[in-house]
Amino acid sequence: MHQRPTSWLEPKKGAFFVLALYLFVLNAFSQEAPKIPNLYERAHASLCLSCHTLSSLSQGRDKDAFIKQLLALQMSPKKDHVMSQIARGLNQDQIIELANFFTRQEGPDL
Amino acid sequence: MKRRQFQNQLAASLGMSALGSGAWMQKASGAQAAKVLIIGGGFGGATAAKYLKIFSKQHIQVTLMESEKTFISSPMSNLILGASAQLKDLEFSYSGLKDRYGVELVQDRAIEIDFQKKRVHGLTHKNIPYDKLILAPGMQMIWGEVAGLQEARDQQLIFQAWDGSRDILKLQAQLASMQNGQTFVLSIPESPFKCPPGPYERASQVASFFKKYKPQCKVLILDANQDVLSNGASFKRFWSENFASIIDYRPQHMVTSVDAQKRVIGLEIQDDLSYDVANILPPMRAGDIAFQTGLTNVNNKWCGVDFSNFESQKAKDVHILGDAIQGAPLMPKSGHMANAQAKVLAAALCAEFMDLPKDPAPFLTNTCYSFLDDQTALHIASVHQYDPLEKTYKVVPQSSGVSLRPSVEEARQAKDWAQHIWADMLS
Repeated sequence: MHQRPTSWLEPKKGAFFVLALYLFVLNAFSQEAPKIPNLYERAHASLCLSCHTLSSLSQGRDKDAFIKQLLALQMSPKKDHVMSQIARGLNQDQIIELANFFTRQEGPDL
Repeated sequence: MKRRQFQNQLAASLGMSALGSGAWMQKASGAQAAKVLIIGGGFGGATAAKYLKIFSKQHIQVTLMESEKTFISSPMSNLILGASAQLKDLEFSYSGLKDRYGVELVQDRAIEIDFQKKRVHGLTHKNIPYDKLILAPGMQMIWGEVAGLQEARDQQLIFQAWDGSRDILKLQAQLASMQNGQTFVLSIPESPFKCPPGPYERASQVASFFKKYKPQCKVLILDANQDVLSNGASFKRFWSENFASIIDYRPQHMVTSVDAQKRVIGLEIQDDLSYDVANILPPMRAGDIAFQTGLTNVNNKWCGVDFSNFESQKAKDVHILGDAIQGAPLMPKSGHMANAQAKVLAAALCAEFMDLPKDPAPFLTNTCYSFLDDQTALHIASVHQYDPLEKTYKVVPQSSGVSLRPSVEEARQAKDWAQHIWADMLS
């Protein structure tokens, strides 16, 4: 009995091949879960955006200057100044975290 | 390759794809992205919608269900009564959430939640699915606590104008129609209620309006509380210095009834009072959808939540924020607070979908500004740190504070604050 040779180029099986190849490529690009880097750093920084724009907090500042400004606000003799009151609610780790976020060289990315 | 081998490889490839799509999909009910449905488009709900999209880098499907076509800000609305702002200054479209962030908008009123099937039904939209539900329903007046108030409202004789609605224009029209020498009564319910400084700002704005245009008119404040609840010293000093002949402040005066036809108010202890225009704020509770679905487990008024992720104490995968929750100590029911809670919640849900650990140190900030007249304002501010041991938020010592005196500078800051927070939630 004569049997036809099998070929992946045959239309029916070729379609399966293309589908498998597509899924393989898709899989290669979707191996990793979506990245959400620095989630909590971004969330904490976003609290500042209720009163400030992203650009006003990030432009023209370096990290040290940002930290010094918040520390100066904490020490301000104007006890009833709104930003002094907010700054006094931040601990050292939070201040550094905000400074890192807003003064990142490539710009802050929420 | 044999057919069986091919089928095995195909199945393996499909399986790997499913795994590779990440935890976002594993948490969801099918092959689609995780779905978060938000009920209520106020400061909390709109902010949550925007920041879920931002924090997740667009990997969450977010739907915002809101009955109103536009957002009207309650903060700053008292300026309309003082004739220094107009409604158009406070009204905004939700379209930015859709166009810039991909939030799906559903204009409808939620009327039923099926917690088992994770479906929400609106008046016109049925079976809206969710993996996580955020309720930001605001507060609801308890009409029955003041006899006759529901009837007065139904007859369009008394307007509360406390929920960011066009009723503020009706109240403004009532004030404008008053004869010089008549009396406006503002009644304040026992705390807690939405926007603690709000009634005192309102009284100031009406007094400012009277001083300019109807100097013989009076503002009678009937406060069920022991004293002015926010910035008390500053408010009372400003009133005595600027509105001494206009404002009459009476603490511990609880309104229990009103006859809007005869224009008479009944009080719990004191004698009845007559008025010309009344703005009666009754006690408040969480918004209807929370109340009707049994989520108001604190005094049958407010929703208890787990403060680590604002999950309801009564329903799994339901998170509640803003005015509707039983707040932590000294946590005000304010627009700014709802905005901050929404960001913390958005991050918490992203973390949960990604199987990341909870934020060990979430915190919240709050600022409320109050205008005393058309030129000056004051503020109250605080920072609230989550305490994982006591599972609540506590005000950070030294952070909470008020203005010593109202100032023009603070009025400028208040207007800046409003522009920024509106943009932060909607643009």
